[in-house]
Amino acid sequence: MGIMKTKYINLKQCYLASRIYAGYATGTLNPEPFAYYSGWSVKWLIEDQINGDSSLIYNGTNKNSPWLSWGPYTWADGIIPRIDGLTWNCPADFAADGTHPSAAGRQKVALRIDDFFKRDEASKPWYLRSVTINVTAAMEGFLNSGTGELNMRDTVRIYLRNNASPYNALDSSTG
Amino acid sequence: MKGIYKFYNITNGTYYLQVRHRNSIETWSSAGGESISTGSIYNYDFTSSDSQAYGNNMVLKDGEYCLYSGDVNQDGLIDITDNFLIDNDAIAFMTGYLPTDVNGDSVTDLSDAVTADNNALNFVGKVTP
Repeated sequence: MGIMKTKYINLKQCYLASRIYAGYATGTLNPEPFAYYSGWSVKWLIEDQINGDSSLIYNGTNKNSPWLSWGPYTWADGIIPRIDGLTWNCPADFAADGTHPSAAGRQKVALRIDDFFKRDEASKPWYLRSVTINVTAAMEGFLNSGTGELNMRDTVRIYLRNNASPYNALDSSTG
Repeated sequence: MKGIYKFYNITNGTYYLQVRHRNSIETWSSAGGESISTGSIYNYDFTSSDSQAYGNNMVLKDGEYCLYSGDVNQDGLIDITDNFLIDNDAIAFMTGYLPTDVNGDSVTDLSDAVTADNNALNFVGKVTP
């Protein structure tokens, strides 16, 4: 991480993703269980940063690392479906070496990366094209006639709704 | 109250803004909706005119148009059921962050009931497309 931060000085975030299933591997290029255990490497690295490892400082004047977080987790136990249904089938999802993904396998990974970045709170702001609405509103009860101010700040949720019946809510935001 | 709201899941189009607050009447933006393009920043001020709300469903107080207060149970209508909730909390001297604290002073008491009572008498309810 330190090398990455040195080479890419504006690097702020780094999402870590472990390997896909490698149980069909025909060679010695990190077959199972190495692929599975790469997930633990990710876990431990993130834990190190959380626990204050001095080589993984992501803020302050001594920062030497990007902020680390889990990316999409794409390992599944071969044809046994994960709770979300993900499986890895051979030969459909793999190239001839049983290690690298085929076009179909790459598509599975790509869709999960895309979905992850669309949902993750820290990636949405730069991954998705957003709309910002500055809303001013006052609550009758909160408005203090003496001060002209609201008695307290409070949470308001704004929904964006389709302008045609049945006016479905398409997105919401809290402020 | 000013808030910055970011939306990530919409495409260019025309939308209504629907405002939800813990003890205010649900309020929508003005008829027809707002034209919104992704990648843009907009301002929407509900306090400037009652026409900023669908059906002009706001009340003028001290020069500002406000969301009606007192919909404690968030059923879209300010009525006796809201007043029951306020009365119960007031009798129990409830304090803190409560829906029944209609005036936002962290105490549920008679002053909260007054606002809700007035709106209940006027049959205040949500107005939506």
